[in-house]
Parts: sequence; structure tokens; C-alpha cells
Amino acid sequence: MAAPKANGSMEVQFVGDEDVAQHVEDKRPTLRSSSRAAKSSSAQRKAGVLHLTNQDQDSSEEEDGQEESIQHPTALVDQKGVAGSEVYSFKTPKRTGQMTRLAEDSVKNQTPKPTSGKTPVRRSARKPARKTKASSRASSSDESESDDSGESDSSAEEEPAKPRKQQTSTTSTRKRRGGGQDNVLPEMVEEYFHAHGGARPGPTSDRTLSRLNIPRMDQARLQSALQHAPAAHIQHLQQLYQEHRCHFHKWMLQLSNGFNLLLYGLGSKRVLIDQFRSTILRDTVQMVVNGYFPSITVKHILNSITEEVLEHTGSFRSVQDQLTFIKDTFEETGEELFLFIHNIDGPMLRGEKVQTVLCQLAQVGGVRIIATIDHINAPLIWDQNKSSRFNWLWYDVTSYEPYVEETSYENSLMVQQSGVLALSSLVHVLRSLTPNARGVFHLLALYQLEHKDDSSYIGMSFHDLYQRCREKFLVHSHLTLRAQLTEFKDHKLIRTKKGSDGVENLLIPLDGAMLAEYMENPMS
Amino acid sequence: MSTSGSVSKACFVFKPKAGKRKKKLNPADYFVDESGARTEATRARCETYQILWEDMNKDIEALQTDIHKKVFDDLVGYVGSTHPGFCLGEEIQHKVSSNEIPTAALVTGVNMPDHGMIFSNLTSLLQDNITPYVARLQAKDCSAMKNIMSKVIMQFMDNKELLDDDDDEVQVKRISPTMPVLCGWYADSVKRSQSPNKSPSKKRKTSYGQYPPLVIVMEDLEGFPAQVLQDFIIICSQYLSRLPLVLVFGIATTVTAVHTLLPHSVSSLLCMEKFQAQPSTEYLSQVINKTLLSTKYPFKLGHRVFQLLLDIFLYHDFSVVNFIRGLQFAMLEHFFNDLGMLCCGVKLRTSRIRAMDHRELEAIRKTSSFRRYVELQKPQEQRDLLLNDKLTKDVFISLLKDLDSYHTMCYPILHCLHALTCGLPRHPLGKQLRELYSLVLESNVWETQGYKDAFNLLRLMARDDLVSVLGQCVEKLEGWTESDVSDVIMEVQTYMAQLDSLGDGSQEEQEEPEERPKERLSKTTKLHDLQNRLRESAKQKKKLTKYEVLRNKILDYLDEIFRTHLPSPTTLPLHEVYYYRVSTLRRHMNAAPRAAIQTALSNPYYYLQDETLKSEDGTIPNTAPDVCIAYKLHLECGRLINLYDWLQAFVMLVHSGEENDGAGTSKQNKVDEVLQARFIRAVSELQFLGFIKPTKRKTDHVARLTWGGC
Repeated sequence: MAAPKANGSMEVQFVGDEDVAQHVEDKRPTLRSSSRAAKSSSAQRKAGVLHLTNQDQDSSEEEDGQEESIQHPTALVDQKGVAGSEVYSFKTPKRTGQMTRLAEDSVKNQTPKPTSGKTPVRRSARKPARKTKASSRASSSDESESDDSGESDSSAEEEPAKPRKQQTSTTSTRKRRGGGQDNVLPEMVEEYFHAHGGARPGPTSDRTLSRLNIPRMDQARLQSALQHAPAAHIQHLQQLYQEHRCHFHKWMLQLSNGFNLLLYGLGSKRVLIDQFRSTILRDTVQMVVNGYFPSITVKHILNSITEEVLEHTGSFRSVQDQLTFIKDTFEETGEELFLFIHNIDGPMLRGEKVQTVLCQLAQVGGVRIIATIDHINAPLIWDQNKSSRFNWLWYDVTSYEPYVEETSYENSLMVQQSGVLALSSLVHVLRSLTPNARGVFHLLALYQLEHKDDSSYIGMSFHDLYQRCREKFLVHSHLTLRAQLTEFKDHKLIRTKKGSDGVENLLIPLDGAMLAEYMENPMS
Repeated sequence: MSTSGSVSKACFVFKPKAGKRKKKLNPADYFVDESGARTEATRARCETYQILWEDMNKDIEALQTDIHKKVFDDLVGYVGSTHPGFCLGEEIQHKVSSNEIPTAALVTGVNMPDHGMIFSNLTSLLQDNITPYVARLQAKDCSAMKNIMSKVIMQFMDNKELLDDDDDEVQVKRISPTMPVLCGWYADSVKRSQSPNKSPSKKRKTSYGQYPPLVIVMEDLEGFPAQVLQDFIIICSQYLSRLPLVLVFGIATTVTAVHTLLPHSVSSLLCMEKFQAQPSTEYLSQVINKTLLSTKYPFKLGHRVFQLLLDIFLYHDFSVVNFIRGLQFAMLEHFFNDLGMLCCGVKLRTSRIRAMDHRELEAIRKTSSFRRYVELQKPQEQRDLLLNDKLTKDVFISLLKDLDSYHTMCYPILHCLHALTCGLPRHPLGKQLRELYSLVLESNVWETQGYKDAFNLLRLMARDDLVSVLGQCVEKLEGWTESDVSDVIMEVQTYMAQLDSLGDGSQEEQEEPEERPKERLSKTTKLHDLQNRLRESAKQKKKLTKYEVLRNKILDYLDEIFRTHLPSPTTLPLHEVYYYRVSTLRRHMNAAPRAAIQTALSNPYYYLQDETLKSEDGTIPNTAPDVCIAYKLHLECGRLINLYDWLQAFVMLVHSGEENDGAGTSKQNKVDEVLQARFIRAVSELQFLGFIKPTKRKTDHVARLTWGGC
């Protein structure tokens, strides 16, 4: 509307309401994820370039800037590989039982047919009558899409094959979307709001794992069962592994030139790194850090370096002091250390402070870091500064190895957790307590066992426990009982929660069976 | 040496056995050929690489100090001129005129990774010339007043330059970090430096003034918490009479950042002066000119690699440090393969070619540019080239010599073309020299549309503009000391002289064809007649003026020069020796791990190359790894996934694959233990990767964390 002329004066033009729409440019043809970055940084780039021109060329500069089209990066756009728009796509509405249908179709190994008369046996409890407005709108949009793709549709009801159609038509719509056609936009918008609308998470069936023979397996059983799992694609996996092995010399070359390595890709990289360590780096000082360990801290890492590598036995006031000491010692002695960090994106190492310390460690001359990442959002832990200081070279070492070590610490829903460990810790702690303390605990356990079938049992109230303890002459006063309970809490034997009436409730975090087993033989 | 399975320890240190000496990392050990052996050739390559890289690095570092020279000089001058009347004596002659802290706002630009370098240069400059007391603060360490004060005091007091032999070391750690302490220390140190008994053996840099100012450099101002910064400034302004403080703000965005961080009451305590550092694009251009656009270094980048590094610079981080690293990586990769051996000076190259054996010659014969060259020769020569080693060596030497001479002439002519076209409207050949260079690398520049447009525009240029542009060309060419372009200079200068001599007579020279009688325009002319007359005159070829003739001649000459000297290097044989053209750089410097994981999960054929893994759209092959099957099934679900259903679907797929009965009739509740274990493992792995997480909203459900999937 306003176009600066060469002499710098601005021309203002009145535009009516109807004409405003014409001035709004549709940028959608450049919907790729790189274009947004390109726009913002091309503005930056122009701003940066503006400095370099002569003063008298500034006005003509602005004119040119507006008339030039936005330049997109040519080399940064990856021709092969996956486009960002496919990795980060929008949520699409899903149907119940879609997963089962996909499994069935894959089993039959058919291409999806447009109108399939066969209705496969469905185990999911379908509620066909439940047609909300939203789903009917979705089905109507389904129909419109499938009409577009030229497939006939006999009825307005949801046919079993329709989600399949929807899937293929959504893929085709996605492709069409890439072409940027205007008539697809309203449907896309509908789908978006339909998918994201609604507070309830969406219908899933109500079956639980208790239907299984073995609802939960513990670690040992899991491991033994996995021994019998068939190994597939051995040859191809070997090939992949050999390809990665060829890189070893290059890695050493790059490490010796000041780069640090970052390995990514699906599959556990422990084996590869162990091979690398034992073959090429046989006579060097190495340190291995298991980043997936659930209680690792940066202090542990630094302490290992100072105590075991540098053999210094003093302590340090702060992390900064320790880092300065490490830096100075490495510079003086010219030592070299290879630091292998498995999962530098582990749950305890993700914090910003930890990464700052690690990147300061990376800047020490003799320290070279080889790290692996696995989480899909791992690169987010570094900003420009950090990733420049780390000086990463990225290598894709997909190996499809199972994550045995890394998931042994995970709290998976289906693995029975910590039953054995808690019982042994319980026994251990109680053995070291006074008889009075043991008595208190027994009272609590008995009370809990009485109520074990009560699903709304939230714990024994403090007052209640105190009364009973007093009756049995186990404690004299509130204070002593509180002290005992604090000790239990420290050993994680009990948990406290504030009830709805403000009273503290005490609960032992073991299930009934365990507790009963303990009560039978309290000293074992 | 097992590091797994421990529940208590996470860090394991392995040292070499006591007898063996620790091996020092020597890059030369790892330059190996395909079989992993170190040979004479690999050693040669390693040496060449190291020498080349060291030289390049030295040049780049020299550039670094130069690029900011002007700004730093100004800044240092400013710092030196602050606090002119400061004195600490008991009788204060005159009150300090204003209570404002002199502040220098240095706008550095958004290239964060380069700032460390900038500020260390600045600090050393300040310490050399004005004052030994310089403290550097970074936002990540300064989250509270206590941290700022302790860092400032530690840096001032710990100053190693001032440790006299007689004085005791200042026990910094036990001192409480407060301003009065700092004042006392400053008074002491000023008195100490004024005292006459200084040991002469101590090396002192230039003597500082009587009261050297205390400079506090805040490297990334926008990162400081606002409240802390405000408190610090207020406290500093209170102590101005006792401490000559100067603040330097390193601002990455614009000066308005200061006004957003500080309210008026605080910013009125500062007396700010702005200094603009050179934008990093300027620095990048100089680095490129010094390293790539010069005949000193034989290593060059191919088009895609160059464009990639430029794109990463322009679209990601504006950081020259990362550009240089990319360059180093490219060099490393280039010298790692056989051709790198010849990428060196002439004499060394000749001797190396003579010493090459058959295998190495074969490797060079296989390059595509040499093959193209061979195809152009006569059949007899072709046979010789491919079989006769001695002849081939001679040919190599001469071809590489040709490449060298190409390089010597290419760059000055490139500058000349740039000078000609950078001022044109719409910049058909790019605004920056590097854009033009990228075009030259890609293809023959005279075939590009931009070149044609540029020449069309040049043919319309006026005389004065043409003269000035040609003058710039000559300037650039004269400044080029590395090669001999004197013929071109002479020609262009003669043309310029001719243009000048045309002078003002250009308009009068225009001869009108007097043959056609000029018809007087009568007052009333019919439209039809006017149209006819205009059409006729347009059809008549306008006779070119002398100026235009000369202009065309000049432009033709220049065109010819460009065509001779600026072919794309990809057309020249054996350019692979010098140009690094493999574009795997992107995978290593700018990787996309999430795309890799999702490809591995949804399309295992990409990595495993197993035919049975090829799947049509939408179905899952049942020979795929477990985690892939689980992943694809979970993509079909909404926000919550029922574990039981998932298990059933998984079992159905895998079971059918193994038993090959193809019917979905596995019994409902009896699920094989092994299959369940495999499912559990796949689900744990997906949880570990971050695709799902356990949720309490519904029993035995997991929540889905991603929406994409391919």
C-alpha cells in the first residue's frame, strides 16, 4: 500500500475493505519447514548486509529488498532423506480399533481396497451408535475426500474400510497439500480442530493387562524369556556393523584434530563403543560414563576425573573450582583423556547447568568426548553457544541393537518394579532398629494389612498410630514418634500424605502380598 | 572391563597397564588407506594437510585481530579517556562532575559462538594499553549479586600481573566480596604502584596511568537477570568517587535492549557511548577471500559444499567459527583420500607424481574429469593415457599446471567482474563476491541468466558510470599482487582514456540522417499521420553514437576476457585434486537425528537392505524388527494407547509372520510368554526413545508424545 520512492517520500493510498484481501499475500506455497527460518533470517541477513552498502545506496537498497523474492537456502534443503514436514506433521483424528485393523490388514497383506464387503471379526467393543457431531463431520469430510479420489461410497455409515481410505486419502491429501491447493484448506482446518478438540483423550477400549496370564513380568523372567526370542536379519545387521567399524580410523583422526564425536541412530551403541575402546584406544586413559543411570550427577563425573584420573585427593568448594583445577592440571601435564558418555541426554544429564559444565569440560585441551544420544528431542539440550563449544561431529550409527542396559533402569508399566528390592531394604533397615521402632512399624503394617482390600485406604492417621503406640508403651510422646517416622521416611519405608481433613496419613508403599510375606517372617 | 550392570556406579575409569606408556594422540597415526595401513603416501598426505591447515589457521587468526581493529581502537581510546580528574587523595580538589558511570555499549551481533574470541581480544588490548584490571562477566554465572561481586573481585584481585615478589599473595578466597573491600584494595594497589621500590627485573608492560580504571566487561548483556543488573549498577554508581569504574556492555541485538532491561532511574546513572562492531558477514567475506579466493592455498571447495557452509552461516548462526570448522572438516576429508596427495605446491607435486606407483595412478585415472578428458583425445592417445604410466605422469603434470594457471588468472578477473556488476540494480550476479564465486563454481558463468542480464544492463550504461565502474575494476586489478594481470589493466586503461577523450562531444556527434527531409510539424496533424511518422522513424535503425560504439567494443572485450578466464572449474580435467566436492558434510555438521530414528523405525529397509522388509504403503511387514512393528502400530492410535490392544495387535502380526497361517485367530488370553517379553522390550525401548510415556489417566494405558510419523 505504501511504496517508498527513490527520493524517500512515502505515498499513502486508501484501500477499501474489499480490496484489503488482495493485499494479503498467501505464503502457503512455501510451506516447508525451512522457509520460516529462511524468512526470519533472510530479514536478518538483509539487515546484516545493509550495513555494508554505501549511504547513498540505502534508499535504493530498500526498494530492491522489497522487490527481491525471499531467497531460500539451496544446499540446506535435503533432497534425499525425510522432509521435515513429514516428521513433524499435524495430529489427525484416529478411530477406535484402527490399530487392530492395521494389524489385520498387514496380516492379510493386502493393498487397501476402496469398498471391502468383508467385515473382519473385530474384537473391540464398538459403539456404532455413538456418532457425535464431530465424527459425523469427519465422516462427511471423509466422504468428500474419497469422492475426490474417485472412489465410490455406498453408504453414509462408517464402513470398516473407511479408516483405511481415510488413511490413504489423508496421505494423498497430504501430498496435495504440498501442492498448495486452496480447496483443501478448509478441510485441513476442520480436521485440525476436530483432532485437537475435546478434553477427553479419545476413546480407547477398557481392557486391562489383568486379562493376560502374566500381567506383569519381572526383570529376571523377562530376561530369560528374551533368550528364546528368535534373532532376525543377522546378516544385514552384521553388514551394518561392519560399515560402522570402517569409520574407526576416521574417528580417531577427527578426534585428534579437536572435534568431538556424537553418535546417534536407532539401537544401542554400547557394543560399537566398547569395540572402539578396546581395539583402537587400548593404551590410553579412558573414562566411561553411563548417562542413563538414574542417579548420576555431574559431581560424580568431575570427582571421578579428579580422583581417579588426576589422582588428586583434595575436595573442592564448588564445581567451578573443580573445573578450573582440571583445566589447569591438564594444561600443565599435557595429559589426554577420552571421555565416553553413553546417553549424554540421559534423564539426569539433560539440565542446562549440567550441559554447561560438560561443555566447559569439552573445552579443556586434552579431553575428547565421544557421546551418544537416543532421545528424539535430544538436540534441544544445546543452544548455539554450547553446540559450538562442544564442536560436535555427528555420525549415524543405526544398529538395531536392543537397549538392554538402558531400559533396565526404566520404569516400564509392564515390568514389575522393585518388589524384591524394597523387601530386602525393609528387612535390612528394620534389623538395625530398636525393638520399639520395629513395634511401631509392625503396628502400621498390621493396620495396613487389615485394610488391604479397601481401595480407598489412604493410610493410617498419625493420631491413630500414636494412640496405639501409647497403649503398647512403644513411645512416650509425640516427638519421639515423629522422630521415628522421620527415620522411616528417610529410608523410604513409609510415605506421608495430607488427607482431606488436614491430618497426616502414613502409608507403606508395598503391595499387600509383599507385606504379608514380611509379616510372616519378620526377621528373614 | 565391564561397565554395565552396576547399580551403584556410573563412571568407570580405565588406565593403561602400569608397564605400558600412555600413548599420545598423534594425528599422523590415523591417516590410513583402505586396508588400514600407514604407507609413505598416507604420511605424505598427513604432512601436507597439517602444514596447510596451520598456515590457514595462522592467516585466519591474523585476520581476526585486524577485523575489529578500528572498533577496538576507538573503544580502548574511550576507556582511556574516562575519569580524567579522578584522584584518591584526602583533599578532593573538585568533586567528580557527574555521578554517571561511563559505559561503552558494544553491539556485537547475534553470532554468539564468536563472542568469546571478540572479548578475549578486547581484554588483551585493554590490558596492554590502558589498565591491568579487566573483569569479564558472563550471564550464566551471574544469577545473583553475590556471584557478580565475587567474580568481579576475584578477577581484579587475582590479577597475576601485579603480584610483586615482595608482597604476599592476596588470599582472595577468604575475602568477603563487597565494595568497601574493593575500594580498599584499589587504594592499596594504587599506592603500591606509585611506590618507588619496584624490582627492575619484573617485566612490566607499558606503564598505566596513575589511576588505571577498573573495566567490567559484561559479555552477553541480554542474558543477565534484570534485577541483578539494576542493583549492580546502582551500587557501582554509589562508589564512583572511590573507584574509577568503566562498564562495557556486549549487546547482541540492539541498543534498545539496554532500555528494556534497565528502567529510566538506572539508565540515567550511565553515560553510554555506542560502538558498532563489524558484522560477521564482513569477517566471513574476508576469511573467504583470504583462504579460498587466493592462489596461496591449493585446497578449494566445490559448489555444493561451499553453498552448504554459506547457508549454515546465513540461515543458522552467523558464526564464522563454525564456518572455519566446516572448512577444517572438509580439508580433513579431502586429504583422507588418495587425491589429496597432489594438493600441494608445484615442486612437491611433481616429485610426488614421479614417485607414484600404478595403483595410485589408477585411482587418479578413475576420476570422472580425467575420463572425460581422455574421451576427447584420439584413440591412440587414449590407449597411451590409460596404459602408459610414464606418459600419464607427464600428462598429469601438465594438466595440473594448467589448473594452476587457471587459478592465478581466475581470481583477479572474478574481482573485476564483481566490481562491474555489483552496482547494477537488482544485482543479477549477486551483491557479494561470494555469491558470484558460488555461481562460477557451479557452471560456466556466461551461460547463466544473471550474466546475460548484467551485460544487457551494462550496454545501457551512461558514460560517467561506465568510467567509474571501469576505474574500480582497474583498482581491484592493480591491488592484486599475486599474479600478472598487467595486460588486462593496460587494455582497460586505454579504453578508459578513450572514453575520457570522447568527453562532452558525445552529444554533438550524434548525426542525424539529413537525407530525410524534416517535415515541419503543422499545428494540426492528423493522428494517422503522426502514427505513420513515428513508426517509420522507429523502423529506421538509429545510427550508433561514437560513445555507444566504444561501449560495445569495451563490453565485448570484457566478455571475451570473462569467457577465457572464468570457466567453471568442474569443466577442467583433474579438478578433483583441488576441489572437495563430496557433500556428506551436511550429515556431519548439521544432522537430523530424529529423522534418522523415524526412518529407521518406519522404513527399516533403508538401513537393513533386506528384500523382505519392503512394504507397500500402509501395511507392516512382519519380518521387521519388533520395535518397528510396535512403532507403526502405535502411530494408529490417539492420545492414549491401550497396552492390551497393542499387545494383541503385535502378537497377531508377529505370530502370523512366524507361523505363516495368515489368520487372525490367536486365542484371546493365552499369549506366548516369549512374544509378551518381546513386546515388553519394544515398548520399553519406545519409552526410552521418548515416543510414549506411562500415564495415570486410565489403567494400563500409555500416552503418546509425538504426532508425526512417516
